[in-house]
Amino acid sequence: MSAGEAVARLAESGEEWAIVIAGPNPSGQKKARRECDEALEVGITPVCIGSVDGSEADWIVVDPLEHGWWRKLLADRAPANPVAKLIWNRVLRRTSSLFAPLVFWLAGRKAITEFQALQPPRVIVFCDEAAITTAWHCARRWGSSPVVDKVGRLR
Amino acid sequence: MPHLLYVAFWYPPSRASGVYRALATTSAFVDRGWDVTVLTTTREFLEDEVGSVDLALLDDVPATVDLRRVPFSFTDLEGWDVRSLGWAVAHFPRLGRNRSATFPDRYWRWIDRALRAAADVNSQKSVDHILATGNPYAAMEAARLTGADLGAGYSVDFRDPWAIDVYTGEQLGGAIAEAEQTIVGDADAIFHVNDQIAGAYRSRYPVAGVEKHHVAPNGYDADSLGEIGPPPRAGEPLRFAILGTITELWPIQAVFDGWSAARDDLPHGSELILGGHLGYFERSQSTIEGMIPGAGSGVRYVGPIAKRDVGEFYRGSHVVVVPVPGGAMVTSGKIYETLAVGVPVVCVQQDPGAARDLALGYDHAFVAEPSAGSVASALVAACQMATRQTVGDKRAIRERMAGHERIAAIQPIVEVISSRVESSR
Repeated sequence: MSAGEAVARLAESGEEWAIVIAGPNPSGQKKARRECDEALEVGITPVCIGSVDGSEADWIVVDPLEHGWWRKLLADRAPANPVAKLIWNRVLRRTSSLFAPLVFWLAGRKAITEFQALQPPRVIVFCDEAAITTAWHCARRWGSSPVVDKVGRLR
Repeated sequence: MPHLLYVAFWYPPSRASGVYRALATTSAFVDRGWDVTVLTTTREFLEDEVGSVDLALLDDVPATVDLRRVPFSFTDLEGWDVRSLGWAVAHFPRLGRNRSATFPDRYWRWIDRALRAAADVNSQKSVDHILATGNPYAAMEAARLTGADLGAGYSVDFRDPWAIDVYTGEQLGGAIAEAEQTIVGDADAIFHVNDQIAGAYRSRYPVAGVEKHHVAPNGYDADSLGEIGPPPRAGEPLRFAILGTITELWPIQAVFDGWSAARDDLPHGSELILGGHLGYFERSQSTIEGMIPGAGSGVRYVGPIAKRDVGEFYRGSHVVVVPVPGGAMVTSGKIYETLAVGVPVVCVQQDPGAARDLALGYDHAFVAEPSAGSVASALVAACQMATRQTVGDKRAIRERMAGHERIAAIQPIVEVISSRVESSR
């Protein structure tokens, strides 16, 4: 679902919503699935920012980038020389987790901006380290919403 | 009724290799009349960060065991106060990660939480003894600190040595050596899975008390064996089976090469069936998957086998192959199970190797070096034995192996701790 469609649906229904942010890695996405279910259990519609499979009837999934998108982009630019390629790959491996949060935010920023038309989310949930930058920007945007790593902390 | 606090980070529904020993340990203490509380990690961690669970294993946890799940995460999101972060850390969170580990083990963050949980357990029912199993060795440190807090004795079960490289025998120094020395020095009893490891520890810590070191070998679970399968009919293709969590440490490539070299000498249509998970962590899967030969090789990967289906898997097998990483201290728990199935066993391990030494004591085991020629010869010899075997032969093997059942093998842990607690009362 696009961000615009999600905003339209939430504006029409007026339902309470949560923003669940899952960076581009398997563990964050598994956690996001659970947090989305948890949000539904307490009557909050989850808007999941990340590549998470879910039933769109229940969740709203806004996918700003595909799995490994930016690593693939850089890998495609790897030098041909084997030694240089080895160094390139090592640097990439070492730096990917450093830059992933920023890249994920840059990819998702435009979509998140569209949600500004709505009431603030009930909660902002970050599911992994890569989601922290996006969560931080969301926290600045929606100053009244709690920022947590688990929906359960609302209880 | 004495109360044991058992610190076992890997416990069902984890499917880590140490889980079966942990289950047997709790069952053995329960059978001996102990109240048992287990401190372990959460299902969330296993699902999200390890990437796999075996829910069927939960059925094997004794009903009276009090399970306390203590959260752990490598990313430790709970510690982040996102709203208060400065610009730099908010954009590069790794810069703000707390890196000052208080213990030289990557699970060190679990220790404090385990301590709080242990204190909570003790406030509800006084703990008489603490037993920790490692890895992770953070569990042992949690036991040591809990023991000091509560004034209770503690023991440790080294499934693998820590400050000694189990594959090379190399002695490690630095922070790990210091931490291990403290744990070993303060412990009431230390358990090891074989004589080789116990000997290495006695030599390493002569002052700490060599009499504290005991051997509680690995074993097999009788309910994993199932019914004895029928022998193959004349000319029937044979099923060679490998079961277990396949890791990069296994000499699996040598097994595939040996299989390829032996195929012409095996009954037409014979198969090498691989059952089990590919690695302990989800990220290992693709690497190991890439090593498995493709169609036409006679090798077939059938995926994970749930514990309740293991007996059926073995029942249809005519030969069992057990690849074991090399090392004079590496027994591998799997060797007992495979030897107890009753069919010929091919143990592939480089010399020196504790598993191959064990296998050499059995007529139905064939030991191979991790090379194509050696594995091929062993496979052919095992095939010849399998075609001659009767159900009676298999039954005799099972009877001979009965003493190696895990629940029996684990008894030294129960005996030592029980007598220690009884004598101090």
